[in-house]
Amino acid sequence: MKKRLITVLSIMMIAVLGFSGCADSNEGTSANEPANGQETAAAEENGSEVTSYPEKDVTVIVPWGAGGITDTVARTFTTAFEEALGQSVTVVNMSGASGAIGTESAFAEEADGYTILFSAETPGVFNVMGTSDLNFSDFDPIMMMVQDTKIVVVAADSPYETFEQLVADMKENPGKIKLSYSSPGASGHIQGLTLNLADIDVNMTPYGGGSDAMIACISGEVDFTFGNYGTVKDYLESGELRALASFTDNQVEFLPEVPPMTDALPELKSIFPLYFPNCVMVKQGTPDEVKAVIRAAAEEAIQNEVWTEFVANRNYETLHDFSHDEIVAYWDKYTSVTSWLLHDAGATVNNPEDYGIARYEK
Amino acid sequence: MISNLKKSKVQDGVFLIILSGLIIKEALNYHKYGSWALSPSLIPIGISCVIILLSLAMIIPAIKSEEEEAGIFSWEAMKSPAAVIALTVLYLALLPILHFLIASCGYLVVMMMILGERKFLNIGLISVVIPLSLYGLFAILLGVRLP
Amino acid sequence: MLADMSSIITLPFIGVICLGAVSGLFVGSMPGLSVTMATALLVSITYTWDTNLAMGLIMGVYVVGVYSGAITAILINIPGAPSSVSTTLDGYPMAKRGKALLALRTATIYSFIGSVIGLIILMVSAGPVTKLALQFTRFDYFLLAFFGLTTIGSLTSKSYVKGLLSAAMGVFLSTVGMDSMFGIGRFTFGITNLQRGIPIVAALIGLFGFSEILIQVSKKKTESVSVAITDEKVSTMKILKHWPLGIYSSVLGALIGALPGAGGPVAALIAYDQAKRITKDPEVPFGEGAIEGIVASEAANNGCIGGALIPMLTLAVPGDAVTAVILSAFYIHGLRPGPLLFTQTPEMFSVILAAGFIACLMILVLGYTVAPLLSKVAAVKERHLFPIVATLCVVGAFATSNNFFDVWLMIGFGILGFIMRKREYSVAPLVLGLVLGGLMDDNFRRTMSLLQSSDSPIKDLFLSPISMVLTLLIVFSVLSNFISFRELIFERNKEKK
Repeated sequence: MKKRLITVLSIMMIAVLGFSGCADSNEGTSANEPANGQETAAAEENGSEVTSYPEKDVTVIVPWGAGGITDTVARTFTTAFEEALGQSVTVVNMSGASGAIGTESAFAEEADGYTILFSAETPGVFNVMGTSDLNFSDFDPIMMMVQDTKIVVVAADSPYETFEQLVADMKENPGKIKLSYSSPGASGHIQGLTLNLADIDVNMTPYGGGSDAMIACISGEVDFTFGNYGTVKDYLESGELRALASFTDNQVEFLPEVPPMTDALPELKSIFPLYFPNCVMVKQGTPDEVKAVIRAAAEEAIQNEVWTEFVANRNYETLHDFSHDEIVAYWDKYTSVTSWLLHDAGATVNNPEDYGIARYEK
Repeated sequence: MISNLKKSKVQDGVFLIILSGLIIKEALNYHKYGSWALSPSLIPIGISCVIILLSLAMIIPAIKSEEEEAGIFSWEAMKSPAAVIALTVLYLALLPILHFLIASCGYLVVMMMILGERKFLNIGLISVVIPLSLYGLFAILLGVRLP
Repeated sequence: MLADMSSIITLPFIGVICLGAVSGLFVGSMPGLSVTMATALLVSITYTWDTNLAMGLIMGVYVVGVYSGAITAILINIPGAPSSVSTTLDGYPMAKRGKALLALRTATIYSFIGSVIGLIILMVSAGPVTKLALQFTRFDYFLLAFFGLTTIGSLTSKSYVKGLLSAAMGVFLSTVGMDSMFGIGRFTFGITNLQRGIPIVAALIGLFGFSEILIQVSKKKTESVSVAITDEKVSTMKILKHWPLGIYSSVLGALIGALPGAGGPVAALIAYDQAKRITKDPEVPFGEGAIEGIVASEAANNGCIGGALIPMLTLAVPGDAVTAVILSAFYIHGLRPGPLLFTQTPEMFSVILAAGFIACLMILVLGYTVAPLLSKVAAVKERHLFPIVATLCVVGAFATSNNFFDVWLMIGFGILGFIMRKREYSVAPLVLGLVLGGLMDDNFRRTMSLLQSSDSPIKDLFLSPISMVLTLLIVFSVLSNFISFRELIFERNKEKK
């Protein structure tokens, strides 16, 4: 009996190790492909000191669940990024608390560039929502990624044909029109709150997730929702949803029949453009040379066909050309606009003033 | 009457009532948003009331009834589990430092000894094969970042 | 569609499903490892594979993995996944009576039947089921969760009150974390890691796995009961006798699975409760080894598979945790589930069905050949088995979420479970309370939020047929509980006299 146990265990072990050997050669994703020429060339281009980074595996933390929108973008990017960097890059999902768990986890690591954070826009509201003491200023952005155009959608059998009709109804019947959003502090919530800037009182109900919020709109439980174009595209095509307006102040090119929200609500012009993009960041204090290498690899990655096809298929808006300072300025603006929107609506735990967040003036 | 109070049901009931009280006290902090129907405090307070009622339903019959309770608790029996718990806590604390393979190996060795294994061959074999297989499976094959 | 099948079902396809099935068997039955975790990890690996093969592998793991949770549930009272919690209630007692093989065979056969029926429902009525699922309002979800909670009382054969207390604790624990309405942290005391709530898998591993080890360790040698597979003659006909219950439970499982947000544990629980109400005279009382309990629980949690795939394919909304991961696999392979699936890539539907049915066959194959061998695991000496299981618990808790905090939670729940069981509280209700509590809380308040816009709240709430049916079910359930409650109190008084 004992002997059998031993043999079984040994066979198991050999099988596992053997299988993992096969798996390595099949996928190649965990294989190391050092291409030292790459980083040194990039570093020299920037004129900064040459660094030996990266010498070992790099980790990209995605503070959202596997398979979610942010995760899919992150994984596609990482595939291209890995090639450019010449070092094995692993994606690790650490979801929870609107991205705070993953963010804090990334912050707990050394600022050596071996832990990269693929963040969404949620850190802007961490402070006022009491979720975390971290925010965007604790991280140094490498590159702004993409954002999915947000649009106002209603169900196919909804009485609203234009956004003006919806706005008129909302103004005539305060509190009676229903909007669904995913969770407090998330993009849908913020978008709903912007309606307050136009003195509109709409009933907002969180559904715990973007897809559930969308389902509520389809089934008629709520009157409208703010959807991500990439997610609702299929429903627009199949006719189950109808797009009324885009969350922009200018016409979206690939949606010629969908006017910008500001046509019906010019009061909102002051806050636009308001993006909800994802962003590649590292912890503050990472050495400049290392950041230069990462930036160079990222720039090469976004030229990669895998990435460009992915972005084109989903009609994502790319914000890659934001310079470092522009990104920092944008996040400041975002934090300010959203924190005060939330605070004015009474949805916050902490006062933005306590965190030195000034009101946004255009 | 006093022997009644020592009954486990009574002890549990009292403990749960106190716990519920604490929960209610803490939950009231969350009631900042006006209406009760939407309040984050609603369910915590509600369920605490249910717990209090159930605890009473447990305590009162227990006090009234005269049946003897079979001894549930014995310090002797607690020794082994306590050792396992302490060992596991130690293992978890050391995992980040010693990393998976070494820490798991040590954990398995000590735990087997606590449970009474004497033969070094068994101890050695299991404490090496298991961490290696798990490592192979998780870290290499599945890409999980073990500590 | 049949024409498609012949091009899909190639040898590599079948091979990969078998591989997935074996992996699923292993993962699903090991305490500490869960199907959700395995699927998530597999998605990363199969990133570069051919789409059909990737789907085949994942379906193999999913279908067999849900089934194999029953194996350890029966043999060592440690369910492999939350959906198998209900199977422990009768599976383990049955094993202790020496009827482990019967229990395993039952689980095998009815998991097979459940999966097949679930897949058939997917195949023929995905559209109508989706429409039905869309009719469920937040209020209906609340009613469903509340109904689930009222049935928990019937789960424990020991003290009724203790069962309810356990469930109530579970409901309380489900409120820990970031509130879904306002985003404030409840009972988190500044620990960010608690903001995500109590992860159910870590709690399950601790409450069932780790605490089981602690319990066994604390027993004196003479007390511990080991489960052995005796050479019993198991009559397949006897098992098949329960086929009506099996079909009913499977359909129930599929329907519940089709509701996004309600999954295996809810389905198994409700099916178990239904079985208890329907079965007049079980040979063995429920909770002590009633075969009907296993039939219901396993048929339902496997029926749930087909059900959960429905909204995933038609709406691109996952029906449960595993389908959420499968959804991501679809996206990664460039597919677009949702309303356009049938027009753009209808063959994926066939691929999933084909993989599913083949995987079902694997349930039978593996269940008859390998599973009994796994029972030898129970015969491994404790002092070897327990350390290994403990390590698996640690690794499993970590691997699911990449969060070391979960491992500490697991230990904590292990200790809690140990204390609870020592004091004769059943642990299963707590897990179920944890699952249902959140569903109930969130949806109640969402309902209230939506009602603010309503001019005639009562009418709006109760007017839909679904709401009325659910409300009646609740009333019925509460009344029958009330009756047994009073019986218990009266019995006490009678004894005293």
